[in-house]
Amino acid sequence: MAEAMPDPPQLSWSDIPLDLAVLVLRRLPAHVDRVRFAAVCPQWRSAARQGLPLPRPLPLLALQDGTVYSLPSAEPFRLPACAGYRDACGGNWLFFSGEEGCFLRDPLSNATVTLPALSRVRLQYADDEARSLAWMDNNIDKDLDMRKVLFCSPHLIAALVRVRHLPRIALCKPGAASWWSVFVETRPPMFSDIAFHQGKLYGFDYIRSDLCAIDICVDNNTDDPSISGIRRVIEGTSIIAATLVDDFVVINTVYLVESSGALLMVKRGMYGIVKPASPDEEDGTVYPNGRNEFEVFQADFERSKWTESATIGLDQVLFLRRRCSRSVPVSQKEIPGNCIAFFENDDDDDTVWSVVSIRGHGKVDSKTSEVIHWKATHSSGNQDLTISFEMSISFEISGSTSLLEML
Amino acid sequence: MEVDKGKGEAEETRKVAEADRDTVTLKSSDGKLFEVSKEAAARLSTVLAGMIAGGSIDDNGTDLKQIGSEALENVVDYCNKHANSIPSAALISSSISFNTAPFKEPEEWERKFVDRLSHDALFDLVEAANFLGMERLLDVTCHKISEMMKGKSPDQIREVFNIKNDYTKEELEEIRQELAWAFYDD
Repeated sequence: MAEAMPDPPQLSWSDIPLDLAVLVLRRLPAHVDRVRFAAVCPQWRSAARQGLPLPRPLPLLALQDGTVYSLPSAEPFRLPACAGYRDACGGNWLFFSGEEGCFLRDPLSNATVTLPALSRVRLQYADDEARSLAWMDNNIDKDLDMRKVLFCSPHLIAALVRVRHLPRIALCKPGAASWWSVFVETRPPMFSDIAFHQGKLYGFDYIRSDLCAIDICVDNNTDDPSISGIRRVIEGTSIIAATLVDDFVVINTVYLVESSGALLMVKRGMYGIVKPASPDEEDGTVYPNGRNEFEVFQADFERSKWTESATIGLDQVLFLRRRCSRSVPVSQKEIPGNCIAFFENDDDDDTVWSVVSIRGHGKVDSKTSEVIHWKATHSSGNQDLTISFEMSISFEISGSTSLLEML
Repeated sequence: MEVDKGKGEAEETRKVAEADRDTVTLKSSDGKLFEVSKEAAARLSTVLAGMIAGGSIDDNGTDLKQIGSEALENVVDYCNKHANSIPSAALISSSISFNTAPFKEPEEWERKFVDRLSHDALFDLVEAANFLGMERLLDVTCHKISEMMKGKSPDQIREVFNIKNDYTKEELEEIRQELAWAFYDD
């Protein structure tokens, strides 16, 4: 252009061929950088559309107050559409429940899926024996106690809930007028985590260390989903909830997470020291001392067994969180692969702590959870995984955090 | 003038002579001639490899009408530097890095090579690399460009890359509403 600036640069980069613009865009791993790229000019906006599918960007870390971190940047953004969410439940879906009802929202597209209120609960009894327990569960006067919500399909939402301290599975189809169907059996598996893997719902029975397939059928007339059976598909060796190693209490938790098409079971041993909460209290509180050990197993459905993995994969990072675990492909240098990122103190879950029968406050000291470090653990190649470095990302967070992942 | 001289023995001898040479001569759109290592050109550019294999290299300077002299000089410079670097070492170091992505991280000298370029030169070079099918050089240049964008707001990117804001007010408002969270400059 004639009136262009005299010195550099003369050329306008909006004229760059679109396929070259796409090549540049593909090298931007942070979601926020891609969004900004597309906002620069109409040409680049169409390049961004043309370039699909792009390599998956690094995830966003979304806090409940609406603060978002676009990894690998430690600079916070505001994403009001995610403020106040309770859980992340797969894809970009966040779970909200409050006065405005119960719904899922994708904070980036603002798409929403309405769910039945948490008070709309129907019990589904496994058999007559379970029905005889009806008096126990009948008076659900409170809202469902949601432990984890999964967006399985546009027609199926699954949740791990607790009813009278026992873990149960609740299912619903979207819609304000539908119901949460809670499956009641006499001796329910003690599910500590659930996952949706290749079109099937699975639950991990913490006590027996079994992986259970949860079969779901759909009513022909109403389209309501319900559980038709729970089968143990992989029997494990039982996990001891807490052990003593030297002077430490090691608390064992388990996460189910899908990674590269496989279902993984990650055992985490978290080291802590028991200290009395106050001089006049007998019961102690576990203070984590920062040491964590991980073992990763892959579900081998054909042989009905867990196979131990020495690696997660150089191109994968596992983000572990009881309410929302993710495997995130990392294809760029910003975050090294074969790592596990986790919270030192997972959120408000006291399941594990009550199993350890540390009464009193019953969980890790909440004061320390004000500063949460994402720590990465690096596989050393053998079976023992040890912490070898801390990721440079370190946020001060007082609320819950989840990962959003762009498609 | 490239008048048909008749494809006879003369042509044959010329080809033989060419095969013996270890450089090829390239001619920019503005008629400047550059010598480049034949081995490096064939290894780094699919287009030049095809021309060399197909015998369509002109001893007096193969015409590359789409590429200006400054960009061609950089291309040739890059090829010759690459010929002098130890490619096997470069390959080893990138294969054991964490990066299993299709993009290989630029070597130190490649970084320096693109860092010294003006924006216009970089622009021309990325187009030349694209035209010549130079995957590695495309990697290096696109990497550099992406580095120039990271962490910047759209306004800052427009400034760096001399891009006029062509959006209408309405479009801009729409984008801002949709993606407000990604703009920290407003």
